[in-house]
Amino acid sequence: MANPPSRTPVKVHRNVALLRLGEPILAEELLARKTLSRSVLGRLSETVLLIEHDACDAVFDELKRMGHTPRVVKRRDASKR
Amino acid sequence: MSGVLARENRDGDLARPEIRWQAPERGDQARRGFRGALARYRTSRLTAIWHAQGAHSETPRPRPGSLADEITDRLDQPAELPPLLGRLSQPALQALGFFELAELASIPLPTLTQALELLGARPACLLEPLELGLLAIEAGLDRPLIDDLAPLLQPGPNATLRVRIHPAVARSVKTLTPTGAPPALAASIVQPRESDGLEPLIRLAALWQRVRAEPLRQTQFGALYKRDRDRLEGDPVLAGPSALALAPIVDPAFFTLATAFRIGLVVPDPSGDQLAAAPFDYWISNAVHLPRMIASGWLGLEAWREFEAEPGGLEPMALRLAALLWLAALPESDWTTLEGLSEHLLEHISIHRPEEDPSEPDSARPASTRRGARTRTRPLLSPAARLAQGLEAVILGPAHDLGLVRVAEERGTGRRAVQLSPMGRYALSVGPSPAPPAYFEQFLYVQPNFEIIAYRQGLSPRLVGRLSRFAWWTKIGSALELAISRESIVQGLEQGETAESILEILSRHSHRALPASVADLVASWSARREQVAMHESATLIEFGSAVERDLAAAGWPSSDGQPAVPVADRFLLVEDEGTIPFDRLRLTSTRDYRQPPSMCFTLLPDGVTVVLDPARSDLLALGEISRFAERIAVSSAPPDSFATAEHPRFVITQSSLKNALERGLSPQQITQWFERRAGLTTPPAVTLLLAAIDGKSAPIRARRLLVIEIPSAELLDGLYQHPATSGALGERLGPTTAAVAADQIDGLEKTLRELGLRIDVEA
Repeated sequence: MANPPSRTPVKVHRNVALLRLGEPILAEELLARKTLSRSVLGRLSETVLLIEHDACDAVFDELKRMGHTPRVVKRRDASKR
Repeated sequence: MSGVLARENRDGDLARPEIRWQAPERGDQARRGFRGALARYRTSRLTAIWHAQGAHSETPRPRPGSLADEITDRLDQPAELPPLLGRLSQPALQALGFFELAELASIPLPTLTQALELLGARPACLLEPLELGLLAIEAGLDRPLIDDLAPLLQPGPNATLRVRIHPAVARSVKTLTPTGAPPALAASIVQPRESDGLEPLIRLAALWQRVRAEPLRQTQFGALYKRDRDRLEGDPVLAGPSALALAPIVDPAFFTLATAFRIGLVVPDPSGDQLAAAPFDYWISNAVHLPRMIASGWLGLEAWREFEAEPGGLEPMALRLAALLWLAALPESDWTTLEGLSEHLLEHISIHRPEEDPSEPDSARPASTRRGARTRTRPLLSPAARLAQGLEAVILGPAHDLGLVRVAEERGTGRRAVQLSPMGRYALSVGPSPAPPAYFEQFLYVQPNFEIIAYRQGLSPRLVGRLSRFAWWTKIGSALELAISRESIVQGLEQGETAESILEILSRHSHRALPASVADLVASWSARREQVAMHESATLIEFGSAVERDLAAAGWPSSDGQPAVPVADRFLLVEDEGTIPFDRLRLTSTRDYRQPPSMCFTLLPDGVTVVLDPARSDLLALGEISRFAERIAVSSAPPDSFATAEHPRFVITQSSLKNALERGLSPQQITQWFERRAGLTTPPAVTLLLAAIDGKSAPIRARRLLVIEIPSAELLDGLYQHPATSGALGERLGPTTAAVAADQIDGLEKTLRELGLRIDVEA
């Protein structure tokens, strides 16, 4: 009798605030900015920065000040900015 | 809700009064308002209404405190309403129809009575629905409880009262045209004109996109901030004259804002600090009904008026309702002149002119009508002239602009002739929905300089909303102009458009091929936006390895939303958690980052070394500690510790703290981190390092001390107590030890010797 396929163990991280960037150099650019870097809690990869939940609005405003036009993905049940 | 978002009276002019804004009031809110109005009735009146509604004598009478609820609840029952409505006269039913026509939950009492008068009905007919509890008088808390209803319908002191309708009643009545009709025009007409009704719609769209880009802020009293008011009044699109209106519309920017508020296109945000734009879905949900919604919004508008109503004088809302209903009473193909309509209205009403009563003391008049008031600049007009002027402002202004009336000239005399348009008949519920106009598919000229010329013939409400998402209205006239810019395109992208969808709609409606520069830049602006994506509440699924992650991603079920995106080495980013195939995954742990973080660090006794417990760790733990501590390589960790690759260890050094502070981290944040992540206050060793970096703490003093050891605690107690020895002793270090300053030891030795005790001082 064939064994049932095993299920892959995973951890689920919910409600993570993060920035996903097109290029690593963008991450460097953002981290070099003191006002932004203090809201960055970690770097998941070269192009993914974990940010503080409460700082999303401030990060968005700072990104706009830097000339970026970030795409904001809100919660699934909320409207997109 | 009828919030008092008063517009400031800047110069005291009559044309700029204090104005009430009206947010749409529906469903429960209207019902609560009605019940609240009944709650201001005396019990005797409520009992009379309860009986009038048909309660039988054997029905147990409700408690006085619940009568208002009982009456309100009874009207919610569908079977209760038809017999009650069947007991009303035609004029009373007509009064109920005003609420449905203007989509209002309440109407000022003077407006309601005047509208009835203008239609040839006696205001006293309101007593019928009032006594049956279908309408309720809304009185302020400063007025006594209501009992006798008839005196309230008298003009004069009751000008501030409003009349509320039960929402179920409003839904059950229809608009009734008055009996009779204004004189129909015998001669033929020339130059008939009918507006397409687009201009108010586009102004609303322009306002919507401007408020979307920057909400309008309100003071705590509800007035707009001067900067925002100036922004609206200085905007040529919003404040410019209407291209099609045959009479000027006063304060067009404010007319648009008040209408937008009435129809829910601009809404107060939850904080109450500002007015925000409705979501884009509004345009999709209401595209078909929007012209009628705008017409109803205008009919019931209190916040803006075509002319200023003076106390006891002509009420703009009453005139709108009555004039259009009289036009609706005409056969569909008949015309009447404005003069004929005006005279017809005048037959039914006497307009009060309080200033004509010399016996009235000046102090009794409202400030704006006092003799010699600075604001009185207009000559006194006869009631007929005032009515004719008001009618012209209403019919040739908004009514024509909204496409509700046709206007022509009487052949031979040149007098203005009017009749309801199909849209007007539909808005007044006396005609079917007008056939949609033949829209031209190609009506846009997109120019290389990013300006767009739009011809009205192609625009539907839905397209107006769609274009307003990503193109900025810059001119409204016979031809319309829009502009696209990086900001406008980004706004469109933020509302769900894509570069492809924007280019598709422009191409589909453009007369010729889109200029390459436009297509390139729209694509480029869009691509640049994709370079930085901020996920406010993403779900990350962490796998044991990249291989497991990639295998899972390959078999991920397709969904209509965003697909799962691989990020970093072992993660998948999912926007919709509902798409996660948990039947193929085994959940080992879950962590919600909106909840307080878990305590996953242990402080070692040295006070500067912390060890991460991976079982309780999360994505942020490493990032957080790395901000102010250095990771110790496993090879350099002491062999007795549990610091391994699985239990990373970090040390807080002076340089790591210094770097953290330079990067903007504060000592308070470090203190909070220890509380949240280790359940401790800041370790003294770390406080020491912070103090050293700070450099502002008092210098540490060093001095030489001798320690005396006494054979027993009792003896040392005696030394501390005895006056000959106590002064020489310093701090007590233990039960049998005490500190003695070096310069005191000789004196102490001498005293002890005199007491017969010996002390050996080590060299």
